[in-house]
Amino acid sequence: MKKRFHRHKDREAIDVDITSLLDILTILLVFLLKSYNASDLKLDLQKGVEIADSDAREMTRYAPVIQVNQQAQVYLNNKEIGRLPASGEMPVLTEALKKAKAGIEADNKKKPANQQANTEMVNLVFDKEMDYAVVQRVMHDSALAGYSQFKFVVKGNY
Amino acid sequence: MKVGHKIKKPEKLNLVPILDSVFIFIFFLLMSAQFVDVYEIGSSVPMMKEAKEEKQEKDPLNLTLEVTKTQIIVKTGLRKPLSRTFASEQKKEIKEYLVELKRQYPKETTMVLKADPKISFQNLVTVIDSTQNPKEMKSPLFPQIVFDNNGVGK
Repeated sequence: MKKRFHRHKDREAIDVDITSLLDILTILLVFLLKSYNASDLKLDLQKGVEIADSDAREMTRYAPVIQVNQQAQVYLNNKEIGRLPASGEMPVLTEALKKAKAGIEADNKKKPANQQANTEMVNLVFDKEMDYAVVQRVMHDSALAGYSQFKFVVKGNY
Repeated sequence: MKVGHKIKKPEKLNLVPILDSVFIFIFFLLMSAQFVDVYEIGSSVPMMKEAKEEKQEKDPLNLTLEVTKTQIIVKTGLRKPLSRTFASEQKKEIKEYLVELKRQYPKETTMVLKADPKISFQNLVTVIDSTQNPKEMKSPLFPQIVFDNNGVGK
């Protein structure tokens, strides 16, 4: 019993070498800092949407997001609205946009002036192979819902 | 002659608080990380306003770009309209021409864009890129882009 007790006493705290762990953490920190985006817009790309490459470096801002994929399916704030008709307007989209605008306006009333979102702005995400005719029609429907500032969301190329 | 110097063992740094803060920072960055760098290109619907008739000595720029699959026509002027045609690949030449126009009309910020309905969105973005942010100029060339829905040649 005595011997066993002695052995227990001799045990010293093990020195863990954390240098490699710190190296990994530093690399991870630098990588995450590089990919940090201060924009308040969180974009979840829908299936079949490949965004266009651009030299633009203006940061995206919070506003309703319309996405149109290769199959001409339209999404508003990640909810599918339907397929864009072959020609003419899309009243479902206009109505959904009006609702979104009313929602933002109601939210704005609860917020101080400097934190209010722009109710005139809409973010447009198109597949890069989409015809300009589709872009035109979506812009037209957005204008009918009361939006006057269109922001095309693009991918930064380096 | 032996000097009774006791060699002091260097004290170990307490890295626990810094590690804690680094972990918290990493979680914050992981939560807010966006691995696709997205940016925006602004545009607006044409706005109407009543303009008082003022005698302008200089012909306004009235810059209009007509974009088709094969060429880009840059039209300028109202009283004496001028147009210059470029091939779609001549992005550098278009930029140089627009830089020259900006030097002549430094207060102008608007550009009207007429595009062929058949051109792809990527083509349109590339054309817009070639008309913005030249490296030799600090300010953007014509940041206010207005889309003309009448289409090319109308």
